[in-house]
Amino acid sequence: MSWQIGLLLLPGLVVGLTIHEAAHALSAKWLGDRGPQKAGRITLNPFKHLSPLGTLALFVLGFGWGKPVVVNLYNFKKPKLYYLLSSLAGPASNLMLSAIALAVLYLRPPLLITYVFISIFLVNAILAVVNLLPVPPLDGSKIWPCIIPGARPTVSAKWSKIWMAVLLVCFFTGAIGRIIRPILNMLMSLLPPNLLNF
Amino acid sequence: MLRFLGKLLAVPVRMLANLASLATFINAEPLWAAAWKLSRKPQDGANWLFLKYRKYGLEDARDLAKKILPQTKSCLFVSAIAFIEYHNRNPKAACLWANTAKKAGYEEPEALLMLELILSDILEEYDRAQIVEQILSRNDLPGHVTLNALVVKANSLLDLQKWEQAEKIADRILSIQEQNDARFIKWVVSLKRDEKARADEHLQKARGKLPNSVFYPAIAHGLLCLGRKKDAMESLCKAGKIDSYLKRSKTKLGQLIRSEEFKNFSMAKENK
Repeated sequence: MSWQIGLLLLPGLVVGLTIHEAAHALSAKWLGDRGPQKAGRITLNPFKHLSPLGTLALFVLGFGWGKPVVVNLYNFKKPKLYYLLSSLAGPASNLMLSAIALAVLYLRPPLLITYVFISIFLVNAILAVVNLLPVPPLDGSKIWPCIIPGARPTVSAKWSKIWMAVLLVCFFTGAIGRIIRPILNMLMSLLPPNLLNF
Repeated sequence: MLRFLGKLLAVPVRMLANLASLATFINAEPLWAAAWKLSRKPQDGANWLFLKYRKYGLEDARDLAKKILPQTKSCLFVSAIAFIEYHNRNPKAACLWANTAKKAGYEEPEALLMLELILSDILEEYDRAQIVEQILSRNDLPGHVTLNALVVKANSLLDLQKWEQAEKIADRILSIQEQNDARFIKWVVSLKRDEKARADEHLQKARGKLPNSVFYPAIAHGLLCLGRKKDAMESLCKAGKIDSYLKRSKTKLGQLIRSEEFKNFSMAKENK
């Protein structure tokens, strides 16, 4: 079952993760950190952004992830503000992509393209929302400390690993599903009626 | 595409290699070798190298480094073997690896800047201030490299009694992350301003889980900056065994440790 879900999610995830990570890298460059550019991350070549482990997980577990863009906060003139902006760039790009995909779907494209754009629309909207959760390694864990006064935007490696384990447990126990389901229902209601003409 | 496939295949191999590295009774070496051959990532080569060093020692690690180097020509990998030499208390050999790679025009020479920053504390051939400026003038290096350069710069500003400038750097670091060196700098500056309670607060946070051999020399450095040489020597005596690299350090603290005055002081303390 997992590999079938993986195949359905694949177009949206490939496009979404590529745009998401490239947006982080591009915004970091604009804000003063050229590290991601040097690492070759300002590109729309998905192979530069897909994590081999995350890609394998997509087919085995039904969810995947991209290679994170590592940002050097010391290169930012205003570390908290700029880190906030570069962290927001990922989810913002997904939201935009999702909106574009929805607009295309309203143009009633051919069936195959419809499937691809439904995948892009749903996956990107979900990527944007899930990434705002304040749990490392998601973008939300970087965004919220930049907004809360006195909080530091960096999390120790130890805590990162602990939170990652918590996130995996939440995923397998269905807690993440409980967050995603209502969003998914809401997103489905936004789709044009009789889209697939069954 | 082919490269990505190789990297994809390397994932399970790397996972197995990591697991095997944890279990001492399994030989993880062939797995790291396979991961390296599939991905050609300098990091996989470095992991293979570290394992070789831990299992068979420095000579075998050197042989492996010589075998891998022509295939990668990456300064990232060179820094791995150079760090092994450095931890083996052979900074000259580490320097030699770095220089050879740079002369041969290996990729990403900036990957050696962190190593050079560390070596510059003890080797005369490196100009520490110049390396720090080189790092801080770039905006494409990893965060830990910039952080270390900032700490070195702040400490040298303390040596020059430029308190405000040093504090500014410490504040910048602390606005991003909790960091012991930045706390020590804040402690010194607070002491200078006679803000005892605030100084204690910073020292408490700096202490963390630092061992005495690191904590007391850091205190000694601060006291030395404040011109309290006797207190600094007192603090050094509490450190227990002083790290051999610290003894060779080009800093004021290193000079104090090597001085006859400190030797006599510590001997007198021991006799008491």
